[in-house]
Amino acid sequence: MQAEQTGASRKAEVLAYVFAVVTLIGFGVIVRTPILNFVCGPAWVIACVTLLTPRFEKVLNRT
Amino acid sequence: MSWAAHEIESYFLQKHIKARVSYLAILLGCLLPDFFTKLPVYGLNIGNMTILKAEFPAKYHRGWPGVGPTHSLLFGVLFALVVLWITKSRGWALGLLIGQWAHALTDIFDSVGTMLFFPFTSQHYSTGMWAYAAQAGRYGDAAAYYSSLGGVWDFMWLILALTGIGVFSRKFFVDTVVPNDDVWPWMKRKFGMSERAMLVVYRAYFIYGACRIFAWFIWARLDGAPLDWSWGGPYWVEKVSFPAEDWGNWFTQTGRGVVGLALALAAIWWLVGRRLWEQANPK
Repeated sequence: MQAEQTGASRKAEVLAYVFAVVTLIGFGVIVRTPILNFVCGPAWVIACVTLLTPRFEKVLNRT
Repeated sequence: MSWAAHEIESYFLQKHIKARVSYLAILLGCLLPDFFTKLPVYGLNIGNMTILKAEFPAKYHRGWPGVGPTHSLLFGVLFALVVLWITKSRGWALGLLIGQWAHALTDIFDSVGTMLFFPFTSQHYSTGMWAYAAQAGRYGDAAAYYSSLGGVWDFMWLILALTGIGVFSRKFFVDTVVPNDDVWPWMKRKFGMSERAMLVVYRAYFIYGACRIFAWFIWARLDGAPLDWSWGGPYWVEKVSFPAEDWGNWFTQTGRGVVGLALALAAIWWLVGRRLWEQANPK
């Protein structure tokens, strides 16, 4: 099950996690309950990491 | 009540439990007591209309009559027993029990506390570390909580979880979390989830819990709520509590509760628990 990650893939995943954390805190301070609830909060993290990692990976591979 | 501790404690517990136990079950157990009970505590408003709101939130949430028994030790046992009977999974039953007990015990730190030994006694157990303020509404409660030792409590759980940072690694997930729970392979088959997706599902509640602490703490500061890290604070919110009449009464009620719970647990184990446990799958 465990797949080896390349350097770019690992960097892309870390970037996606950082993006998820920063935006969740930022939006959380502004909109509060609509995002800081036990459904939307984790869903936001999952969506950011699964959707953004491949995009960040493409950009990193290009550069 | 604890705001983010319930999301984070599941990771800390998982690290220190040596038995085979489902992480998802611990998480669900940690969330269980508040799952169906929180909405009427703060109230459900549509426009200017309040559709659902408990008249006395603290009594409804933690007391009796109310849904306070969801925060008792026996509730966790009965719920775990039902899950053991339906799923035949020891890992899920044990995980739910550990999570629910962790929630019930964590909540004794606010001023209302929990009825740990219900139905043998309706005595509330509380250390009064911070003020229970759900009656002030969601935002009032958040401001009070993150201005008191409640917020410190959340930060402490965050640090405790980070001391075992290995639980968030890909290796721990693949070598420990997945083999202990058939739900992960099922999710992979059913939804075609990649390892990355499953790993982020596993980590999501920790990240959400941690972000929630920072977001509410920053919001409370921007809102101008004064910090008060004294025991039982903050001073500026109305504090609800249900103390015992006197120490004599406290000891009598506690003795009754401990003996009642011990006898009930023994009876449950001998009548149904042992048979269900032996028939169940170790996972």
